[in-house]
Amino acid sequence: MHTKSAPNTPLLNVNNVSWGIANKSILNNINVQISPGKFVGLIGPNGAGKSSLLRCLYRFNRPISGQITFNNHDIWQLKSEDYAKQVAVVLQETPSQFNLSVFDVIALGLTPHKSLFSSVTNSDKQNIIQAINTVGLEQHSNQSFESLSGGEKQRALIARAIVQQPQLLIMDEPTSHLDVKYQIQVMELAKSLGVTVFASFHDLNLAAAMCDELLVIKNGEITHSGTPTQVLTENMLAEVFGVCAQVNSHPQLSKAGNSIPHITYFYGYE
Amino acid sequence: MVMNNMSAVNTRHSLALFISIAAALFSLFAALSFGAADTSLEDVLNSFLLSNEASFNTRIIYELRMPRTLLAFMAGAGLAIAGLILQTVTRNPLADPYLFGISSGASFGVVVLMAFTGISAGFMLSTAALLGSLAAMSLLILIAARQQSAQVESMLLAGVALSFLFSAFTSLLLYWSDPQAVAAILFWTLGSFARAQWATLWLPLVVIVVCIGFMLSFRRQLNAMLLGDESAITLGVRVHRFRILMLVLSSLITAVLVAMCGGIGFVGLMVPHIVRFFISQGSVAGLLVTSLVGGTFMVWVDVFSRSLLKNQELPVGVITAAIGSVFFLSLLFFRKSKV
Repeated sequence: MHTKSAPNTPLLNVNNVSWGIANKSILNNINVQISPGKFVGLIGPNGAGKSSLLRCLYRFNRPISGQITFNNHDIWQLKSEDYAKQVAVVLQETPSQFNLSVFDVIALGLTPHKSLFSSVTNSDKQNIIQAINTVGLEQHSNQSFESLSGGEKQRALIARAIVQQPQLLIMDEPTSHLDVKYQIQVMELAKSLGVTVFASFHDLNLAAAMCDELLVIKNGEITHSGTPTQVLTENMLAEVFGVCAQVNSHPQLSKAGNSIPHITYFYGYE
Repeated sequence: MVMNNMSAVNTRHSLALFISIAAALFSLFAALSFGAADTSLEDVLNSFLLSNEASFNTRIIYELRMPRTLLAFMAGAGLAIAGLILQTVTRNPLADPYLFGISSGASFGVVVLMAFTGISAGFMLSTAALLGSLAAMSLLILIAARQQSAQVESMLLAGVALSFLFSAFTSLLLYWSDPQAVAAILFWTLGSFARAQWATLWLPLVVIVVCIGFMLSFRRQLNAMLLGDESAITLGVRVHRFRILMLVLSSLITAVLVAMCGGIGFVGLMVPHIVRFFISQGSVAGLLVTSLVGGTFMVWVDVFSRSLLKNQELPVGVITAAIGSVFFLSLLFFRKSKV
């Protein structure tokens, strides 16, 4: 029996979770543990269930069976504001209809923290400004959110997550339609926050460079897990992604001094 | 840098709020001097200052024009804020209180009353309109509450379908009614503030003030809805329940106003968009300015309806639609694209 404060107690524990729509099962008996402080990546081919799994974690999808606990509390037993105080989410694409300003969008991070009639205090304002500075959007705070470029939008949403002051940041392919520079920038920004991150990735090399741990999902099941070096093997790439590739080491080492696997794809499959 | 930007935004919002409050107060006051009887601003001022003097002008101003102007203001403010809320929670720029069949329900109630009892004026008429719109509103909420997955779509489609359904029944009853009833119902659907009385003014006042209070307190959740349901859920908003609550509040405002003034279209659709051209709707100021601008606009519409033609009153709905669409179109045409 370990105590709550033990360092290896998972922050988030997904226990035998299954989910599906209209008799079609999408996730089968998923088991995932996210330890505090880790940057964990979720990879898998299109339609494997990456977004469905993440949606279960931020309570958009309710699992058919199984349990998800956060700090040992069932997430469906928590009040929705209380859960939102601890878990922030950056989505792939965020539509915005009526020209909220960038500042307004970032200030939304306060939503779960404020009671109905309370107003924005000076310290809230300081937090918002600090978040804007952290993501480097000082010049854009009065612009409308819709007028930002894709990379700036994702940075604004990360700033919103910073204002939310979460313990866990969930990101669903937050860089999938950004240029290379912004893919790296957005992910390094998320990494620099010092919170636990669980993110799905499209780009496997980016995932390898950023993550402490990787999970591979295929057909709604977790097939591989471990460090990037353990997970990203030529066999796994052939088996799960159906590509022929060579895995070498990246010339750079990770911050912790570990080697980073680097994938080179081969072409000509006909 | 950010601080400077922010204070600039705050100043702009305070300025917008200040201007709209000033314009609203001035309009409420100035509107009292217009009408069939010849009164000047001076007469209005006198009737305020020398209130014990029961002159003819004073009585006109106190007993006829003032309740009427106040009702017009409340109607404009209420419809504008209801429109803003519905546009926000459905994320549909075309949403407006009348899109959801609430006014068709009211017309149906009125026509039923006229066709079966022959009553064509008075308190009963408002009651029938209120019952009709509450019926439409309950049907709509029933459908929206059942649908969890595609709530916005079913709300919009159900609203349009309900409005056609009630219009069909209304037309059917009118087809069998005499021409006089047809004229009466037409006048009623086009809207008028002529029925305003001090005795009944408290009802829209209470409903609108309570609903606006609720909406202000939920402003963060409203903003969160603008970035999509999924994003709102991650911010701890219980999206489905919240949308229904907002639908109930805006329907209540609309139902009460339709019952008192008939169908006044376009304000709820247009005013929120006009205000959005100038300030972000995300702030308290945005919500308040929207309702103040709606109210001020309606006060002047009522003035026009009373004074454009000698000895005759034009239907309010005609004027709102005419002025509103021209203004809106020119705003769309001349607006500089924002950076």
